[in-house]
Amino acid sequence: MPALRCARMARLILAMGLSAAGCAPIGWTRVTLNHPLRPEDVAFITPGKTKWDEVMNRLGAPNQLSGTPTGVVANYYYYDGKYFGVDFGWPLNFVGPLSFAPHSMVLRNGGIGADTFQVAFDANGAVQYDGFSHASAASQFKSWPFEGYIP
Amino acid sequence: MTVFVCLLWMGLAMVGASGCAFSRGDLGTQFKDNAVSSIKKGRTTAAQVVALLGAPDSIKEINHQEVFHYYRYTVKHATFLVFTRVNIASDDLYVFFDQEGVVDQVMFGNRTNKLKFQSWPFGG
Repeated sequence: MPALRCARMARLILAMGLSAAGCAPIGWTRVTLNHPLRPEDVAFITPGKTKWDEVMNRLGAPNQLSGTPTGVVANYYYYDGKYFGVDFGWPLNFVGPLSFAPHSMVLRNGGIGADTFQVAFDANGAVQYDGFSHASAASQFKSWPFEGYIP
Repeated sequence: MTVFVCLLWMGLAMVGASGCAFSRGDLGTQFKDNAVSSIKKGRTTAAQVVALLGAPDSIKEINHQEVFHYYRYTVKHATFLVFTRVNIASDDLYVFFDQEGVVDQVMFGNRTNKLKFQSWPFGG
């Protein structure tokens, strides 16, 4: 439960960061949680051979540890949020009487991707499996928020 | 030419509306190096850990061991013109105890010390 709370809090911080994009007529915003682990950083891990101490010494303490019936699972979080927004009505601020009428035409779009690295250990501290979540595709700068060309 | 001047003014106004900003936020207090290093495997008890670091943010049971988890987050935000970047990182400290309530293992991951103020949102 605390682990779930921790993950929720991380997502909340990301969402708050994305929503604080400011009031500029156009803007690119990027929010990241932690540094990404690269495949070469974890290449030393061999399931069945690599031990708990080696993983912890090389990667540091994980963001989340969970007990499982067969051992322990460690998660190293990496979240990446990208957000783009543009106000097409903003130039009307400079067009005489129109500037006094509502004239915003804002399109915003964003996404948060995750590439969490997970490594599971058995009761003897040997790695059972490891892998990335490979869910970072959601993180893209896009302006068009609709599914098709017509809203 | 008129269009160019108009665009120039609009660009300048856009820049003025956006500007530049830096902000920072912390969730939890920074771990003191001497407090973490004074936790000794096989000697320090759970009560002493709580006296040093305060109550843990969460307590887990892993492989029949009690584990204290302390964490903190730091947020660094920078905006330059129309580009904003918010970098967040966490420090995590895990203290494992044996059946007698004495420290068995200490794991510390410091990620906030490498956290930078950046505004360029593209690339890595």
